[in-house]
Amino acid sequence: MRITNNMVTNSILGELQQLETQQSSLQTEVSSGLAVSQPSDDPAAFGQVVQLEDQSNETAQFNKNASQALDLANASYGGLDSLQQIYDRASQLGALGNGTLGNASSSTYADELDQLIQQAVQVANTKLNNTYIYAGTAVSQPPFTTTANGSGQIGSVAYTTAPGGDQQASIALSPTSSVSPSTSGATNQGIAGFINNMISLRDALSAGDSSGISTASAALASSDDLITSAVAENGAVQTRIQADQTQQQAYATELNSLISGDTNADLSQTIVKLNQAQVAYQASLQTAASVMHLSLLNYVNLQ
Amino acid sequence: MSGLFSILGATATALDAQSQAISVASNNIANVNNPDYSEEVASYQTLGSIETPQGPQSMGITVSVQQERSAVLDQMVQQEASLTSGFTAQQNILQQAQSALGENITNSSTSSSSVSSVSTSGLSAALDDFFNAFQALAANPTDSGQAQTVVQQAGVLTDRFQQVDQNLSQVQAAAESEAGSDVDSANQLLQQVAQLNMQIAAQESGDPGSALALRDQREGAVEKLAALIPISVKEASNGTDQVSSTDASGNSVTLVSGVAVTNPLSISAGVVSAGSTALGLSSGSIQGELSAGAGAVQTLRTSLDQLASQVVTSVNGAYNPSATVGGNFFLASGTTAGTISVDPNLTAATLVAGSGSAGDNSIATAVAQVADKSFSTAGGDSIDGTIGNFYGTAVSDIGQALDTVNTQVTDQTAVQTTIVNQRQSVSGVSVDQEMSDLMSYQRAFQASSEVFQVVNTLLDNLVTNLGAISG
Repeated sequence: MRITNNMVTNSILGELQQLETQQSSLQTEVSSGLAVSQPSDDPAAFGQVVQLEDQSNETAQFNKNASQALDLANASYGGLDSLQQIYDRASQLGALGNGTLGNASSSTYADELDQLIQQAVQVANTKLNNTYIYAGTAVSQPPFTTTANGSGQIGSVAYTTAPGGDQQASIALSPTSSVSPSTSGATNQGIAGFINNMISLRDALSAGDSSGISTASAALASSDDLITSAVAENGAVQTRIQADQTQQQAYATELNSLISGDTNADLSQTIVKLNQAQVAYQASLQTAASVMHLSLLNYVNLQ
Repeated sequence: MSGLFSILGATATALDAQSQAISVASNNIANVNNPDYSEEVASYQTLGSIETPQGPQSMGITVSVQQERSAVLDQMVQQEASLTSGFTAQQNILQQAQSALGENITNSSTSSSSVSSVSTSGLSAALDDFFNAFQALAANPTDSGQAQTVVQQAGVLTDRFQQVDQNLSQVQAAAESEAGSDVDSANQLLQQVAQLNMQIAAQESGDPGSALALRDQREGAVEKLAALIPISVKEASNGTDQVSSTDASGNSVTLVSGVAVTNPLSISAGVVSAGSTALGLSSGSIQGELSAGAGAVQTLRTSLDQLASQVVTSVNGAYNPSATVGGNFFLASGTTAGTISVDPNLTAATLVAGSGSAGDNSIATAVAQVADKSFSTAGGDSIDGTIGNFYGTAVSDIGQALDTVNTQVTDQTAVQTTIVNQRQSVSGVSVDQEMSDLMSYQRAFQASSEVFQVVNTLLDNLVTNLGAISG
């Protein structure tokens, strides 16, 4: 093939251009650590990353939800636990009171029980983040309202009849599962029944009504079963949330490693390639320099 | 006697011929870097001989100059230029579209690890944030701060949809305007070719193929034209080039015939016409610009419109299940990427998380679940798959279109370089060759001068000696 001057410059420029492009993209890969940074770098991987990123963000949110749910479940447990302690003392007072009927001490027991009743009502109206936690979904009003009796004591307690009181909000832990960290409407009703049974016990103690004490004590014991089972349920919910969080965290790690696998540059490989490109570029420059300045003009002297 | 004088005459033609050859070499060397130039070659012909009483006498020599041009290679260069500039134009438009979309992956390194993530400035991040805000509201339905976040994220989402749509429509407008200015350039080049045809025809009327510089200029203009639209060129017997393109069914449409532009180009609504005939462009930068704007970029815009429509319909459906008037989340009339907007009635105060009591989160949960719902166009939805799937595919598609055209540009550039080099091999100037030619012309000139000297001496001898006898 006949080689002309323009061919030499065309080829050299073309090669240098190609090597420069190659060097520049490898250099970007090394400095950013990313083999894929624009959709066109690897369209399939980029599309994949967009979707993985969706899941990763969603998982992070589910994780936050789980923390929120755990807080609520913990708060619910705290209240239920207090109620159990109240029950322990109330049933003790019931037994003690039955043995000392007619004594002054029995009215003392009744007074103590009255304090416990007030405490129980306070616990039942516990708030977390400015919302009532034993209220179903009617969280903006106090769920337990009291009616005073003739002597100014709490005469009865009623659970709210507002819409949502019988419902239970559920919080999503994953696209397919959700959990209800608060107590159910039935449990909340049960709390009202439990307090009312305490009231009956107090009234029986005050009145020195032995059979009333026995009946009220038995009723109180059975309404406590409901609270015990709510505590058990709460424990199960907490375990589930914690298991879910662990799983979500493992999933998030997995997603991150998938994203990194799709996008991260293999540094050792990239650096070796960059070195190769640099060597080729240098060689190209050197040969260009020696080829381009040579011609017949260097050797002939026309006279 | 007459022999010596005729030798003088013939030698004079030889000196003349060598000078002309030197002039050709000097012209070649002067144009060594001119890409339009094709090497000129001086070829010698004898002027014949005549019979004289002393025997045959040479009339001397003459030089004719020809261009080293191959019509086949010229045509190939035109075709390749057309393809290359078509791909390059597409690449340019698609790069703009990819930037307009604003999706890229960044690497955030901490001391312990490096995490790659999709940039937070894209639509993907806005969609995630929007649905996550609802998810957070579902976990905390009475939190007014969370309600505020939902409304803010909705604003970010609609802004980003509109921004991306506007950016993409600007890319399309820029592509159309580039195609328009390319059509203007093409018309100027057609005029130039017609003009050069006229000059060539005039100059070559007595000597076909002699207007070498003009032909180089015309070839340059034709190649620039080929980069804009695909053309074919046929040379008529008077030296003029007939330039034509093809319509949609492949029939030839003449653009320049003889010395006139027969069908000037025009562009309207993305269709390029020559005169009144719509052209079927298959390469060239005009086709590249139009096809990228109407192809991949439009596909992306359509996808975004479908996505926006699905988001509006599904979120409204979940947020306002009973379709109460004025109770929508997004404005029901804005179902495209360019028009999606939050319902003006909606504020953080009027945002509801549930349908009943304060702690009810059923609505927030239902809206958050839209993010994971799988849609199907067969079932009457606007998109297929989940919102994330659909958007991921749309991003992947535009990336694929650009990746493909990047590869095409690389491959095509290599092909073009090969063809251009092939032509340079035939038509290009080699300094080495010119130098060796120059040396041989110089030596021939010197030798002819010597002949001149010898004949002069002989004549001198003759004249002097004859003068001595007569005296």
